[in-house]
Amino acid sequence: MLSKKCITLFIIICIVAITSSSYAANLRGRVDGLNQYTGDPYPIGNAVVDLYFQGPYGWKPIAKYITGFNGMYFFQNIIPGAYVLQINGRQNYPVTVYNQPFQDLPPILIQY
Amino acid sequence: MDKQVMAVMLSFALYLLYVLLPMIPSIVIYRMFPDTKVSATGILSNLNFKTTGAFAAYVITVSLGFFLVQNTHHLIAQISNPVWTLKTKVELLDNDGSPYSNKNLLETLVVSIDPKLQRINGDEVILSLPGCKKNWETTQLRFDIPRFGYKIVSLGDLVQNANIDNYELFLKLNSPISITVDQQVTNSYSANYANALTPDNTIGPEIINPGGN
Repeated sequence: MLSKKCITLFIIICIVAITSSSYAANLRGRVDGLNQYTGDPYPIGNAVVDLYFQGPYGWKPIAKYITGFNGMYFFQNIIPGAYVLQINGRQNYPVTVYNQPFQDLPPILIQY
Repeated sequence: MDKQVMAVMLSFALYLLYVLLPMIPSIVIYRMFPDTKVSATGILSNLNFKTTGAFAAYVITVSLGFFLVQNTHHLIAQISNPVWTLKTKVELLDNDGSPYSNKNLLETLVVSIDPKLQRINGDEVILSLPGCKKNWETTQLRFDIPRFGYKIVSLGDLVQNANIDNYELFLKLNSPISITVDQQVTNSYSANYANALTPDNTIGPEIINPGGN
């Protein structure tokens, strides 16, 4: 009886320890446009990427990045959860940050 | 008054007291117990000494006061130069531990300190003033190279392997800070357009530039 209780307690402690250990993820992604003639994607530089998190008082910007010539953006130490990427202030892209140290987000294809 | 001038004056006063104060017990012994035999023998700074009478009392008091004066002198030194200087080498390593080839990245190294020298909390401004050893254990240093990697180390751990000059307030680390390259730098980004993110303006913050580029 006692050993059963001990095992249950041990399992609960393990579950709590595993779920409570969270990374701050480094995010990476790319902003691409589509060539209107060929349909081929190409990286968009100077795109403004804002990362928003929904707090108790609404959406709050937590990080901003302006893409380089290769269209890449990077965000460091992002806590796991649901976020929204806003590109150039005109399109929102919901993303989920997982509990891992590094995460590559799928590319963003902008079609104007 | 200039802090350095004040430190010099305090040092002078300290040594004056160090020399003069021990005379008091010597004079008291000389006056009150002129016939008592007091003697002291031993080694002081590799010098053999053998004294008697009031001068023996003086030597003993001066010897006991030596450590007190040393500590006080360090405190006075911190008045004149309250900022510690830390000197270390930084090496960049590849994932396999071998030296990273592009050392030009070191020019973009950013070192930040936590708690920060200046923090703003609501209407409060909090300043962390360096120079106090007791804060070392809770101070973290972050060596950060954007898009390469970073290293966070405790100042308390760093000083375990450092030469510490308490008078000049100078720390020299004997081993370098190693920053290992992030996985995201070595693994190139592969864009899978089949899984490209889809826009959804019904979720998220207000669109601030609906007609812009």
